[in-house]
Amino acid sequence: MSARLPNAFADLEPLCEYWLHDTEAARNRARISTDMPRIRAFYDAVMPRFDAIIQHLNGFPLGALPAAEENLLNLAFSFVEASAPVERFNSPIVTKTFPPERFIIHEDLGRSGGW
Amino acid sequence: MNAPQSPVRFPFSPRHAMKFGTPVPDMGSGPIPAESVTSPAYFEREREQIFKQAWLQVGRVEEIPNPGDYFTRELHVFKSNIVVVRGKDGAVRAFHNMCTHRGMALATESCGNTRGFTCEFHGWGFGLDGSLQAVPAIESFPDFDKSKLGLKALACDTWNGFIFVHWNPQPAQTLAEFMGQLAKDMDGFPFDKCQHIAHYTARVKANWKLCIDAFQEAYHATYLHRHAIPGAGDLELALPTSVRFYGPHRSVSCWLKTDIQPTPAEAIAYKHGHFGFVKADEGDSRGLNPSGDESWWFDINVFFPNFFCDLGRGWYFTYNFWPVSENDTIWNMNIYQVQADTAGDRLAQEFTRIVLRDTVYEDMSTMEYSQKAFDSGVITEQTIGDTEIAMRHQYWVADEWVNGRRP
Repeated sequence: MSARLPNAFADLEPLCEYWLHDTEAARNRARISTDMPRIRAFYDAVMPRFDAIIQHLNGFPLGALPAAEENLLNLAFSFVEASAPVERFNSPIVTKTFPPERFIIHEDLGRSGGW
Repeated sequence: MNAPQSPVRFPFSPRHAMKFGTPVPDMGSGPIPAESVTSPAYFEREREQIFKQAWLQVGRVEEIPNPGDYFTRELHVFKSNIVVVRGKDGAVRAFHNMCTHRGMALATESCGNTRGFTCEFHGWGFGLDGSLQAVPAIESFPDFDKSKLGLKALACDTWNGFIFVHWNPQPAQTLAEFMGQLAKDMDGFPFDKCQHIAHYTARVKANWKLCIDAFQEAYHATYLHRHAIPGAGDLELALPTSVRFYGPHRSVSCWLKTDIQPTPAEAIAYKHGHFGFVKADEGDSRGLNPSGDESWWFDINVFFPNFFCDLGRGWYFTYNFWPVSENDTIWNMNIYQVQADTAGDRLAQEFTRIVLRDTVYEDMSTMEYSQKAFDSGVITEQTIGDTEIAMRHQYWVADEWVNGRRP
């Protein structure tokens, strides 16, 4: 497997297969399609590195991240998704009383036609 | 806000020091009959007396930056699909998306760029200004007057980049007159420095006013959002710090615990970035907290009948509630944030997006149960408390408009 993350974060590489996505909808889908043990394992792996991840990414211009840093940012966005089940809900989903397939997360930002 | 403080006409305890930044209209104080959220006949009157008489927000100018850019919207409440297009002269115009020949849709995509609209049915061609320009075999139409068969227009205007339309091409009130002082209070907010970062929709089997209610009072936050918003499980959070009424529109400022603790993950992001959902640097605060509340969190601004523009430090979000029928509504949410400078800022902002999304997801869970309860006839009226005063204002204003009065 080729490296997707910066060298300093190679230890997080195995997490990319499930958690690395470049859209909010895909990251949320990963969160709500799995169980708490997998979410907690992701959270526990990234939490001790979160500060270092931010410090590393702050060394690059936000609008022009190299590919590996862009991946690291997207993995960190997935960590934000995963932190909610761990720190707030103790469940991957927010509530069972509204089905996720009826809550549409659009990716057509700026040119939206999905009303 | 320089308006005189009104006498508080509701029995708040001294601890519940809710303030009114404007005079409070006489809206009554009894329960609200369920009929206005269940009756098809009442909904038809709302369609005519409210939605065809008010300015409605349908998009942002950034969606159509260049001449020829357009987007379409399915507006069930008008029983019409509309197209909003930027002309060669830079003006934004809105038309019913239907050929004036036999009604075929002119724009069949949700958005795009075009030099003009050509009907795929018989080739009638219209300019970006709506004028009819080409009719194949025009000589086959007796007494034909092209000037009378331009696209059917809606009135269209903008405020701070928000595009509004009005069913009546020549409405009695301009957009600025309609939006009034509430819009002026918000004018200082840096809308133009914000970036669109999220778009969510859901179709909810509930009346549009029930849907709005779920987002215009904070009483429910204490219980419904005790998981999504840490610290919400404190009754004081349920109280608006101040409320303002502007004709049909209203504004509610929400309270924030001063000692609210971010979660461990948020705390790390906030070390490096500004502008989280519940914690933010002072930043640019123009247009916010018009009553100057000390424990202010964010402002819920509701433009009658169906547009929210809620403002916080470094972010704002909007809701549109589009009725389909008396018990069917399309909910639409967009989130915008001040452009981030660093990844740290961006990650702090990501908590705003996810916390907000999870919070409104909790809101989604309630409305259909309310609708079913009222539809069943078992519960015949809505009992609401003083902290839900924005609801009372909504039902009062809606009923006034339905009956031809316009507060």
